Amino acid sequence: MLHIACPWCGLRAQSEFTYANDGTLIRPDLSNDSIDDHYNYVYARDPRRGIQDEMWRHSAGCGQFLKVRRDTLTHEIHATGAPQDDLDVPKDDRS
Amino acid sequence: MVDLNLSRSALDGVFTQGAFGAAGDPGVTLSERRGGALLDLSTGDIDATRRAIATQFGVDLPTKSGRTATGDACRALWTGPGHWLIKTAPKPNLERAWADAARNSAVNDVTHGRIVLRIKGPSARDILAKGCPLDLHPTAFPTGACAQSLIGKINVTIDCLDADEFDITTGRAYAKSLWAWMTGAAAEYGYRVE
Repeated sequence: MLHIACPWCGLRAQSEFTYANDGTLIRPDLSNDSIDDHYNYVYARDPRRGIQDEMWRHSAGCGQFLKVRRDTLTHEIHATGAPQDDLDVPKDDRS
Repeated sequence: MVDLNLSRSALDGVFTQGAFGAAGDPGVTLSERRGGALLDLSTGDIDATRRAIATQFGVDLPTKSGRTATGDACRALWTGPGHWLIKTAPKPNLERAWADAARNSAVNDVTHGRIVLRIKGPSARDILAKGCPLDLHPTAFPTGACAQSLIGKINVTIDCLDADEFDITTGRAYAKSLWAWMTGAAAEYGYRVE
């Protein structure tokens, strides 16, 4: 089982969390009428072997969405943060 | 015909008073807490809501995970950023009174949608630890702490009232499942239902 550091609640068991989505997706603007762009946003995924950013939800805890930087090969979690956080910035330096 | 009489206990039919499980001194006492009121309070303006509630109800709504606060005949549990569970005494227009005080908030009376079970006794932490992923050691989860987590895969809010006394709040529809889990987990220590 993974232990995920919720930005609000601290280190909690994976069973309290629900995987939500790829954490790098940006929804195309509604004025964008490219079917491909919207299709790719909803369906197209690029499974990665290594580090990727994911969205999770602390569904059995505080209910918040959070960003998780996880290695799909080793399951190591390198960083977590609120959805608006830049995980490249160390946690203590974030405003 | 569906019986919609919500003043009936959600544990009707499974709740039996007496001593069960292992013989000897019971490890815990289990009971259902009835007669209280539960409010769900959430806001987008945390500072304004905290000021208003502190003035009106004398409780400083906690802003950190796992914290509780006690005020004038009410108790507030942190359940998320800008989100609290309020335990208080029922009275007419309760929801209205809180909503009027906290203008920037959403207040919902969830009393009839939840049940509160109390588990008290020297084996309480050991029993909860069997089905809950939280660190329940007294140094990690002391008196006055609260947490939302899972017990036997059921979503719960745990309120630590004393070193060996906890109130567990869950959805009314989960009452019998949680009761079955709790009595099963408590059997090896012996338990009394009252």
